[in-house]
Amino acid sequence: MSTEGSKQEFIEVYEHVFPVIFRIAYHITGDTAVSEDLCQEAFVKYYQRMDPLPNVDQAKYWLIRVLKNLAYNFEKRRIRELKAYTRVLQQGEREAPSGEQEALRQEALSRVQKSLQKLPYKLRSVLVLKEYGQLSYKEIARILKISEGNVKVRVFRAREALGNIIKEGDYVP
Amino acid sequence: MCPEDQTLSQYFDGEFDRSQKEYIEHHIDGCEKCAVKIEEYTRTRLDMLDFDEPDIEQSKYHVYAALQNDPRFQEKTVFWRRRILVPAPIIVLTAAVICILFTTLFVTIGIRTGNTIALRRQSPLQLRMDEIQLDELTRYFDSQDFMIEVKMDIPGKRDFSIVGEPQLLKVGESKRLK
Repeated sequence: MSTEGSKQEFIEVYEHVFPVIFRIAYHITGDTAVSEDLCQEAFVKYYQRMDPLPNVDQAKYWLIRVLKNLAYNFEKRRIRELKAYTRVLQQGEREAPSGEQEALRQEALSRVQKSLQKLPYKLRSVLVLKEYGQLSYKEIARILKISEGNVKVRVFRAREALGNIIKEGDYVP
Repeated sequence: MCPEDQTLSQYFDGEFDRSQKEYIEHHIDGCEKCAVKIEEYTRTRLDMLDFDEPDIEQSKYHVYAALQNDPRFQEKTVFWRRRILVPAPIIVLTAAVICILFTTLFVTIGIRTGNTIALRRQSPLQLRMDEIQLDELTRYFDSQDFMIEVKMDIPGKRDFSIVGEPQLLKVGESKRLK
């Protein structure tokens, strides 16, 4: 395959898939800049693949899977940093600037987005893939490498939990 | 009887086939409790979709511009420069297995080329006398510091019909003189 041909294919995949994975990234992380970074990382990995995928749909599932992993790593990092900042604040040493940034970020988010952020990552990611990725249970199961039954249960729990949070403002497992 | 909430959630996501879907829809039509549940799910979905979405087109442009400046995007990794990540224990194990295999090969298996003989020390040497000269063999053993005892069964009669007849007779004589 010529370089020109592969670049053309990349652009086709980019145009088709970017909106889907950006929405998913945004609703998992709640941050536009972070979502753009994650999408950039996912597309670099896609470009670096040695063996091209047969069609745009396969590329979409592959990119969503990569993005899910990147978002998960980002989430873990964010939770670690928040815990660290909370510890610092509790010790009363100083006002941690990133904690303040986090508070400002939360304020800017919509009510629903804030509620989504309160869900555990496992439930949030499945519901985001369902509602914003518009994927079937089977497709979600393939991306997350879990059973369809597991997807069904997680979507149900996520939906119930989100509904409760929006109503009452608190996540109750 | 009302289906479980999880079943209603599955129906709400369009995961049922036509007959199952019709069955549940028929039930919902006549059950207020289930109808309320579906309404809750609908409201949650609408809330999720009704928000100020960031400008996707702008983000798409930003990310594409960032990709053009990303060095990893300029150069596609060619096959022979591709990084393959292998855990260190696997590398160590593979190296150990290769070492053991080669050591075993060289120590236990003899290689034979032309008149050169590599001997297995534990097993008795069996040779045809037409393949090697006895003095060659003796010189070889001496060079390897072998303690050897050469035994030859010489037939009683002297009219040999095998190749190497003069050599055998000569050695036989040498032994007797001693």
